[in-house]
Amino acid sequence: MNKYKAIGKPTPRIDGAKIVSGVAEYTADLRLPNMLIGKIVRSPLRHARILNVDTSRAEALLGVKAVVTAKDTLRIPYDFLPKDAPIQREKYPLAVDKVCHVGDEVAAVAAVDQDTALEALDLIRVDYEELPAVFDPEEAMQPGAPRIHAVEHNIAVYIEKEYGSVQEGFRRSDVIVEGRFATQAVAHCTMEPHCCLVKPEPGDYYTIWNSTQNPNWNRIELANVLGIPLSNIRVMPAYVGGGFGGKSKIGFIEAPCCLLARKSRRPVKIMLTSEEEFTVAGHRLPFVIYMRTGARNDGTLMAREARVIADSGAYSFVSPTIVGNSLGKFFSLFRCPNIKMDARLVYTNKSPSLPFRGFGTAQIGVAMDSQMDELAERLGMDPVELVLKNANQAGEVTPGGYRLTSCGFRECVTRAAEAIGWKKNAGKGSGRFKRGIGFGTSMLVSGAKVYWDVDCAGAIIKIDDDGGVVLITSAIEIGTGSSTILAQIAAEELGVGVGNIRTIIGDSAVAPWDIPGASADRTTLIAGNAVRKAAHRVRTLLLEVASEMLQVKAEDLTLEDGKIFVRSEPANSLTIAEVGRRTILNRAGDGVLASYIYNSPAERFDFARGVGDISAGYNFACHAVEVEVDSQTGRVRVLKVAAAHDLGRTINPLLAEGQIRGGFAQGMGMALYEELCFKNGEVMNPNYMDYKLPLSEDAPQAVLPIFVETNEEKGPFGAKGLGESPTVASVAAIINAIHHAAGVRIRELPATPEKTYKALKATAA
Amino acid sequence: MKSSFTGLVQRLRQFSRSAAQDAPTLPPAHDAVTAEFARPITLTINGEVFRVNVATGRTLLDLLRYDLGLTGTKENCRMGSCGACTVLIDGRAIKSCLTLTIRLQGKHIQTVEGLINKDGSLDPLQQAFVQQAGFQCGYCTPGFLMMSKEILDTNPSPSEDEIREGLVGNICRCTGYGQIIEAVLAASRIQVVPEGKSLKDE
Repeated sequence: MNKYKAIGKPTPRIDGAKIVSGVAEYTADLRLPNMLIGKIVRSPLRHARILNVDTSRAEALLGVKAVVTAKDTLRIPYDFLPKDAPIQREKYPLAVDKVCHVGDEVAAVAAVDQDTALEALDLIRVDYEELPAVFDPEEAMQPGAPRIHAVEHNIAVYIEKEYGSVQEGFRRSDVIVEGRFATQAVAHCTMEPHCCLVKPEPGDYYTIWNSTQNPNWNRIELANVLGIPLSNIRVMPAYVGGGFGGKSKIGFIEAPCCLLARKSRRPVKIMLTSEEEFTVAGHRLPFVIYMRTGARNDGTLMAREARVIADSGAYSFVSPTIVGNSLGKFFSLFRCPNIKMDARLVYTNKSPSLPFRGFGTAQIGVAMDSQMDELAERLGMDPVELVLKNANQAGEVTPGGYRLTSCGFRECVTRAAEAIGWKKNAGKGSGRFKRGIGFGTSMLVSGAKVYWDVDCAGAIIKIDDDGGVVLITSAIEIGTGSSTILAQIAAEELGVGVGNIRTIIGDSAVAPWDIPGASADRTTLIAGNAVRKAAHRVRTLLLEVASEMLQVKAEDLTLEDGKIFVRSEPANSLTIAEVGRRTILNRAGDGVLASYIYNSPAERFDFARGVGDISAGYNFACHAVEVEVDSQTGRVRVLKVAAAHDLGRTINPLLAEGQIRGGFAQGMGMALYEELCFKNGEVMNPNYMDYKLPLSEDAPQAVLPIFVETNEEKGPFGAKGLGESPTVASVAAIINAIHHAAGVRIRELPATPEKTYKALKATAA
Repeated sequence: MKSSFTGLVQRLRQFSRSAAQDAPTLPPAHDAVTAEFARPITLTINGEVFRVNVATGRTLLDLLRYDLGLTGTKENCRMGSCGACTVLIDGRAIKSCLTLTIRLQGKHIQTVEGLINKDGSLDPLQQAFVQQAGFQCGYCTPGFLMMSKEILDTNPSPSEDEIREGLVGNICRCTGYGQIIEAVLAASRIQVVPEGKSLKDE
């Protein structure tokens, strides 16, 4: 039974009215007086040395107010990972010596209007010396391949790790399955394009509105490449029209925008076109995975080995940690005594790969879950039984270093299987339309301490004169409903109604330090804990002052529904407003205001050893998906989904359901439809007509969310993160379901109708 | 060839800017060059009459967002393939990014800003979207609201399949569509219920 007043209630978004009446402002909507429009000059070539950049004709065009190139920079590369991280730092805000992909940023212009800016782009003349290019990562590793950066074999990062002895483990296995898997470049397709607006002040101060998940990371990176103090940069809040990881770190428009603003001494706005969103704004890191899994006849996993080749594109960005995260999952999800992975992140002359919901775990999960399914078939075992036999349990410490203080994995599996009707419906369909059920799993962090020794967020809570509660947070609203979730946590701790709380997303000068923003499923746990503790401080202060006013001991008082009263004498009460006013009068210097910065107690990732208990809590999931395969066309439809998630505690079931259904759609898109098609390094389908993503007609008939509450002690009211798991658990579930329906196993995503049809014909032959 | 054309445009700019200084004051077109080629249009937006000077190529989307400050209607693909820019013209849903303003003489446009009731309360569709969590990031929401309005205005009790089909021209990347469809269903129930009562979905 739910003993809470605000927690666990299906609360609609407290800022919902703004969104549905069209007054919520996104960076794309913002305008400032005297503002210029910025555009970026991009390389038309895949790989070339820059011989000369002539901007004179653009500068002479009436209406052009600034043109910047590498000459206007300090030639400091972006530095996305800590100094001790063994990575390359190859990306400059504007290209210095060479360009490495079609669309690489070379220069930028700011003009009085869009037409003039576009005309100026054509007037900038860049002389290139074209270099040979390479587009496939396995080719790029070969001797003699064109060298993109100063590393051998185009290998940006090489990671290797072994736990136990896989040689021994495979020797002791009764059954071994082996295969090559490949995942594709998936575009984020945020509905709001990347967009930033920079307002300069004399002395190198910048106020920035940015469609970003990570304002404070923006500040760190901009301070670095511009060579200015962090505190010279102020990032202001705006609604963000989707991120999914594509806006979780600095993009490549903020620095050029600041440079233009500095040079023109006017506000500058840059917004990517839809075509740029597909061609240069990044995509999910493609993996090629060679995987082997061995088990005993009773289903006990004995050995797992993976060789991963990840396609970085032209710049490595944060892809090293994406690969590292997939390694963390490989060494953690499912119990196995012998595990080995070696992974190479390889440069190619394509646009850079970026974080995307799942952060490497969706890619490796396709191979992991497919092989569990294959093993079950070879062993003659029920795949659910095989998963359960090797499932992690609470209290374990995984070879990856994760301490599973709470783990509802087994319950997720059994409840998903039950909800989809697994035992009843097992068995392939017959006839033209074949139905089948498949399972997919997920294990993710709730915050990850990788980049720094802090993984923190803060909150400020203050009571207004009328007793209204103001919650200032730096947690960005990217669609998760974080403002509402945090208000619920504050409401529960304080003892007021959610409707009494106004969540203000603070600008970086006002709101406490929060790094790294809306990513790694961290907001509920990290920001939630900060909110809870700040609310507790406010509550304590209110009760202290009230005890003075009522002349009773603070322990005899309670705060419920906005009233402070003596437990044994409810009529003897005060409102929060009354106590708030008295605090100003009685306690010189205090108002009712408290703050708290919460830092995750997790340990920082050890790059040298490749281990770390990097998160305060790990969330688990299992999806059971029923599909229907049309054997005449190869088309796959998803019918039903049972989505079980161990999220610790469900703060808001209405919004949690949204994360599950939306995350599922992205997983379905990755499994069945989506692919950025590169040819010679160029995207061939840079628009919504040629890039197929799920539409309303593709949504399943039913998605049943199942919440498994394991009450993680480190989370606020026991809550952990949720947002990325629904995507990760969906992809392999669909692939496995196709196999159960039609007897074909797709190993190269997406499972388009063409691929499925060809596979069906091949098995029939 | 290119440089001489550019030079021509530059000279035209200089000419038109000096000419504009002498011209009578008109409501602004979007820049001095196109003032030469602008035509006056009268249209009604959310019940308010606007008389504007627009260049022949000015889309309704850009008129709304850039000339009139009505940023509720969103821009994304700008080529009619995502639905974020959907508004109603005389009750019919259209993609404003593909609609030329000069063709809208005398038309009635309704945008998301025009949904709200005169007393400031949310209309049934807006209410339902909030109650059913029919949005997450919210950027596609104005387009979905206007498309949904046309669906419900023409078919007050649609089936789930009819709603699904009606919304196929609007992309949502966040929700997976499920809660959007439920919101439209819920809104249809609010509308058919007699005044003073409301149905709540479990």
